[in-house]
Amino acid sequence: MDKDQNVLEMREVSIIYRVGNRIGKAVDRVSFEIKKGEVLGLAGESGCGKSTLAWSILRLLPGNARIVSGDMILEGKNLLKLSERALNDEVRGNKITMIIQNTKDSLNPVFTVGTQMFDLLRFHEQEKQSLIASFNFFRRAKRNKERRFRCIKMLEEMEIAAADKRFSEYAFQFSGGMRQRVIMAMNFMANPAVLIADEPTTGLDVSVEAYVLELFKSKIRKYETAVIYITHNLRILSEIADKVAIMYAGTIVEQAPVEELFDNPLHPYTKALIKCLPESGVLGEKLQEIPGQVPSIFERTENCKFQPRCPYSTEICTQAPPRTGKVSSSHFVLCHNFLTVQ
Amino acid sequence: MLSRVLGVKSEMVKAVDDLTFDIDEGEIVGIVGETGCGKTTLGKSILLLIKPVEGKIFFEGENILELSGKGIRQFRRQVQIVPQDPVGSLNPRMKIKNAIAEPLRAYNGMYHEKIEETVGNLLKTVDLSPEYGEKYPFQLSGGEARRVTVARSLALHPKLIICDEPTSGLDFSTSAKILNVVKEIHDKFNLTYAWISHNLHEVNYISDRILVMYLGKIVEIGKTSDIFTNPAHPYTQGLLQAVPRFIGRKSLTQKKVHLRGEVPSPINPPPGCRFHPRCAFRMAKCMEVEPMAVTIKEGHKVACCRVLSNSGM
Repeated sequence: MDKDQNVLEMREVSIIYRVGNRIGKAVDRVSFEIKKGEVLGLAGESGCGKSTLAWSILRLLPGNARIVSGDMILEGKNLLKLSERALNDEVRGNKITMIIQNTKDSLNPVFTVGTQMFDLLRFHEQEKQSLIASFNFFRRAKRNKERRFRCIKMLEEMEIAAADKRFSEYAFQFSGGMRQRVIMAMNFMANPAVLIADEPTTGLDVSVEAYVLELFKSKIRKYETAVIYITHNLRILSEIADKVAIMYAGTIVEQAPVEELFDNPLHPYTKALIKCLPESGVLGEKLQEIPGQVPSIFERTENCKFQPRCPYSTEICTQAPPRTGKVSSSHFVLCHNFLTVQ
Repeated sequence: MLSRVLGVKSEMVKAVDDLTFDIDEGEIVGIVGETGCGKTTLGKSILLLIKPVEGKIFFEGENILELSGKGIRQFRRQVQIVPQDPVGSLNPRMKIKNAIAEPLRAYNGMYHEKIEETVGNLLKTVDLSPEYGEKYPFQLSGGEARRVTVARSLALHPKLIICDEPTSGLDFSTSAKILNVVKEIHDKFNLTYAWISHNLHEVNYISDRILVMYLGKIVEIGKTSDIFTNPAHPYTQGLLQAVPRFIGRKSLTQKKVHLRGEVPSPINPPPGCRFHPRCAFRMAKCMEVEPMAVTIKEGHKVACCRVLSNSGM
């Protein structure tokens, strides 16, 4: 796959949740694309739909959720047209992998870490063999030995000391940072086309977080994985992302290369978010707040969702849905007034 | 106003070891440190929720560890806590107005009308409308629940409030709101805060002085501006270096010091200086001798063997 093609394309994806007889729009016509080795930061606060979007790519949403429109194209193939079986065999844990915030939810506590890594390899490298061949113990033993070696090598690559001993240990014997590194090992071992990271460093100590992020960055570069990094922490994105998409109430309101977004934010919500940071504040003065609240998923209008909280809103904001303004080939803003907003 | 020398020991873990520091009236002191450093234990011991094994804690000149019964009751009105998990600390079966009124009923024996008025005022102070009084904790967002616990902590007009990770788990815009509310209250009522946090940007914004803890010890203490512009202890330097920085904003520190490894378990702390296994500047002495605090500038103290030897002592 050549470097300039998109590894993953999301086109106008919309997702709803059905609760009782009400329908809430969690994600509304979201589009983005990622190339090989690129890190897309998906930023937004609680309720913006970023996690829903992430889980939807692997079709792991709860039963009352539905992807109602749009396309998800992975390396040219439409994910939504794949059967559940094909998705499970080829995509999950293979072409697209995921790291989530809570390591305890990712590692099975009753199996050793090594078994879990090993199982991944076994599942995805199943060969079709004849009945007689399956009795070839020597071949199987050799294959298992190679797999075990691969797992341990991967643990070493994630800078886990005494990897061969650690291979036979259980999740509770690892610290938080180490668990995340084990999960990272499992992710990169599959050498996925896309890696989805959902707040992987939240809850880790500052120094551990810095370390894990550095490691993560180097592995992304090495394996040229396309990454969707989901967080509400803009600081982390400024260190790890190539481009950032800001989500609000289910839509992407602004998208740009990371430096440009933070140097020259155009959407009122992006500006407000940046002003909220304590380091943006002037010592002694109040921090900027964003008045009001994110609208619930059942109360989302077709028009601009940020309008009730926007200090720059004008009449058109309540009358027509905003169109995507193209500031440059890589910088998009969803706002009627972005040209006049100061 | 508050000072102590204390060691808290359980059978095997010295959570807080030989800690000495002061908090003056009206100050906001940030207590910073990572897992296992003892900051939460410290906060709880100031509230008399954990009893230190050794040492003294002086509150307004009186050793609170020698109090009993009535004395403790009187003390508890003056020191309150904003806990780390707001939803967990609010009784899910109590309406907000009753949760806030609880300390009023327990201590002041207030009657019905007065309570309603007081609760209404407290909610107003944290920028919540009075109708929030009728809600239950599950109906509140994280930020709102946090503000309710702040309101509750103010009910008895305390002098000192321990804030335990007040903005953890909150979005940035909600955090900004909490910080503003808390700062306003501090200025209005001349309160004193012990602000326990691992968020260094926040601590930089709100504290007057900072205490940096590591494995039960204070490694550095000083004015916020001093610590951030001139961190003396290698751990502080490494910590400031590790904090993710926002593009276009100045780095919190210029020094490039990387912290290696992870925080060791407090059950078996390293001998000598507890930080030495991870320290890029360690010397032979660091493995044998626990460093004493050295004053490098007025109000700025650091406990480091290297600084000790550099200052020629």
